[in-house]
Amino acid sequence: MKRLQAVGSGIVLAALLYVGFLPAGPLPALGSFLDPTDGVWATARSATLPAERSADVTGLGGAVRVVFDDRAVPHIFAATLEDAARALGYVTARDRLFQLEMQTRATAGTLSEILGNDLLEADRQQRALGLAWSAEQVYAGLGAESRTVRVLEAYADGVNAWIDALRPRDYPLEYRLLGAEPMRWRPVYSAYLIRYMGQVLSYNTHDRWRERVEALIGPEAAAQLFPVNSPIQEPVIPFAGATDREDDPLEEDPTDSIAAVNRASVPRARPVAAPTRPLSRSPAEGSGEVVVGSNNWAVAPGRAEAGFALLAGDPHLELTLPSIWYEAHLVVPGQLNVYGATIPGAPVVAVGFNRQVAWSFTNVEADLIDFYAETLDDPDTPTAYVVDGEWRPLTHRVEEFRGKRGQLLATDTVYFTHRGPLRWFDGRPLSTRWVVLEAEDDLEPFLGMAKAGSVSEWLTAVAGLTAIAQNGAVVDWLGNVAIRTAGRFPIRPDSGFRVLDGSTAQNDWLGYLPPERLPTAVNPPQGFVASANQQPVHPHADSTYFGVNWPSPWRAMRINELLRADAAVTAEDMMRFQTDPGSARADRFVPAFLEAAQRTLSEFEGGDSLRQALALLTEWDRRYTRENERAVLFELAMDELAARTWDELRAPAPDGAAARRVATPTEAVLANLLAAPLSPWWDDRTTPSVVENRDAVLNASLVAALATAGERYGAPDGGGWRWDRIRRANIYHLLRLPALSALELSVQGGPGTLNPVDGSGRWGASWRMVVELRPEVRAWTTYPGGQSGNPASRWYRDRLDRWLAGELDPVLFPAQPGDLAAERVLATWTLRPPPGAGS
Amino acid sequence: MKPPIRVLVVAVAMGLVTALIGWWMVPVAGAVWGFVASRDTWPATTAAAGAGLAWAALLGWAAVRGPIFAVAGKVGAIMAVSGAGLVAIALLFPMLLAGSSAVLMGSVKQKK
Repeated sequence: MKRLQAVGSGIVLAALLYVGFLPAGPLPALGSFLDPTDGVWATARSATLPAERSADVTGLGGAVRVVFDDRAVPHIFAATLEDAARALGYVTARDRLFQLEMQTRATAGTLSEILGNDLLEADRQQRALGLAWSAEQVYAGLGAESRTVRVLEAYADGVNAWIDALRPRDYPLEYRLLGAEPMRWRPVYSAYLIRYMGQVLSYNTHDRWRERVEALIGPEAAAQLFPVNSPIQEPVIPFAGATDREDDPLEEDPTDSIAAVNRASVPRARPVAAPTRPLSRSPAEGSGEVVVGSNNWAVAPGRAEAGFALLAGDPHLELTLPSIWYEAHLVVPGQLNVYGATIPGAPVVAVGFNRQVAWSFTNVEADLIDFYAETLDDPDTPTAYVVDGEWRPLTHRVEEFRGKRGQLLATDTVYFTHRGPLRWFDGRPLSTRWVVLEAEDDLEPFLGMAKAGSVSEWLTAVAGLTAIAQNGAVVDWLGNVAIRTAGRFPIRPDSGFRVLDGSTAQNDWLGYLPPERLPTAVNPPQGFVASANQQPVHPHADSTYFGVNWPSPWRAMRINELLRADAAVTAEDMMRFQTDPGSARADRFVPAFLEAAQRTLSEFEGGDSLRQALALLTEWDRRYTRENERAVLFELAMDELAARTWDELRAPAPDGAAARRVATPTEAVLANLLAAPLSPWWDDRTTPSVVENRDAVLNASLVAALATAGERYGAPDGGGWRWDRIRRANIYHLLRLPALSALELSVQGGPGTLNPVDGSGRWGASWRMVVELRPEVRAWTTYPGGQSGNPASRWYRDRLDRWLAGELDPVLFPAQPGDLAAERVLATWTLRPPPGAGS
Repeated sequence: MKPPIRVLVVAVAMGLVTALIGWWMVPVAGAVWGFVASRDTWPATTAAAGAGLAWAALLGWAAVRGPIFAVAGKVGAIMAVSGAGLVAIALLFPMLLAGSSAVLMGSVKQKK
């Protein structure tokens, strides 16, 4: 018996020691993980803010006061810009250390070193893009005396001061889970970050799918469906040159190369004769248009009730926990007093305000990238490529990929032409020229914006952006309002929306648009400016090629509609507008569905399903409120409409998978097509015996949507059609761990509204801000999450409920530490130079 | 020494070695106790109870300094157990380590 007891104990002990010392599957080694003093429990300590703290930070020129207010926002009071950057680095590392590392590794393509081999392929693709390589080159070219280098080094000092003071038990939870250690921060990582933003905001492969579209329907038809200019114009730069805002509708009978679908001899279908069953298609296709996007607008004092300039901004990005933003206030007496959203990793306020100006950005959906088909001397081990009949040498770099234990996983050779990195797509070598890879110093423009004292100074500063192209709306204390489409826009010999022939230098870019030609509006007569990622300039005002296939301007139309209708805007109005449930898109398409059904039902008998769908859609007020029960019918009908209308764009997948749409024209193109009821585009190729017209397709889409809604969500009034049961926001933790995420959140808004929610719910308003530039500035902000990256902290997701409700928090904007009321102060920290470091 | 006192002594020892050296000293301390107290009644139980008590006290101290139950809730959810379940695991782990090592060492000593 005792022997048995001993053997059993031995087995138990061995098993416990095994799981204690070694990770088992996804679980970390349990011994150190559960240790009550140094284990995961220690992360609870950093979940709270010590009310007082004094710390040494290398490089500081003098003491820095950091006062955390009751929203956990640090107000940093420093004597120099560099010391403010050091303190910002320090507090950002305290709250967002793991995020800093993940963003850097995502840019550099080194995620497999911390997350394991599964990320190897993603790392290889990322390294082939050359973002980190580009950042290293530019940073090395900046002189040590440059302000950018000084500030980035200072920020790195702050981050590393925090890291150096950490004991293993102080590591953030994610490091404990992964069994990893924080990496030290290099100044160049801030340059990585701006390129990462550039990648998120401008990388695309439109040029490649344009080729497939042209192969399917011909170049002229492709030009109709994917036009250079949006067929509905509500440009960023106000345009008063024409009352008619729209281009001509698509031709009824285009004579170009859509012969493949031109079936003029086939009889027209009765409007109710089109197949009404839901079309089989990939769920990912949807209605085809990306529905997320940023908004900003500014109102001049003359249209503001209080007589002060107002600004609102809500950049939309992928929503994560912790958030992409970190709210901070930097004060350097006589130099800087700026408040707003910083991105962890960059010592600047990206969107914010000072006492004289306030600004916010939306992305310019411009074409900043081109692909060139290259001719190589050897497709397997190339050494040269042809330009104008001559062989030019390829440069190359060897990339090594390592795993969690430092083991070598793979080695790649990345080649470069004079245009940029060379990659193989379907066996075809394409080099990439991309504005982001040629970016320069983007810190300086942001510092200039932070210090600007007027709209004029701010416009000068924003013109220096190089890695990202942004529509910047700005107001100043004198009541000026302006908007500028800023960034580097390539000047091309021709358009840039196709894969170009790399064997001739004639296709190379000629330079960048000079700053004086950046689209800009200052104090327009309408008294406000607004942008929502739409085409920046009306082509009649400026025909410069900025891009192609612009997002439909539904949000821009809605903002402008709201602002035109309100000549006495208040800050509260501005906040309300940010989650306004109205939709210019629904206003455009719902009547089309209703009128088509009514026309058909008045002429033909039968159509019970159509009659029911018509009745249900008529009940909708076209507002995407949480409780509405009809938006779902409209959205399903829009999906069907896109699938049925653009059937010509379906092609078998190269891998033999089911056919799917190669690309989808924007909804603005579809809206434009509504004015051409007999256009061949309406015809459904799967019904060879008849030719459908507009009404037939609209009706079939609506009836099919009704069937789908019934199947998925039950009876129309059974509660299953409520919008908030169907569209949800999903905010994932950086490691996509559901336990650390906020999922299935009910939000107000839908496709095309000012608070758009896409199907996955992973994108949305990453930051909301409203500023009223009174003599004593008033401002309100929020974002989905909280200041702390520690999941156990009360500031991890404390702002989420108010963000969901569309409510913003008033912010504190003290000129000096003593201006903050004691009851609003959570903590006061003092950062000092290390003893003996001098001052 | 009365059993409760024995448990208390073991708990103090377990707490000190855990805090000063590390979790892996728990089975070492358990083995030492199993060796020196092999003639006592229930040496393994004493070791296990002492280890559990020590870790409970240390977790209690950690709770004073930060929201460890929030940590337990989040980490537990990641590991597919409740927060209370994770705390229970955190207490059971040293108990089993100390108890099993005490039994093992007691057997070795008796064999000699």
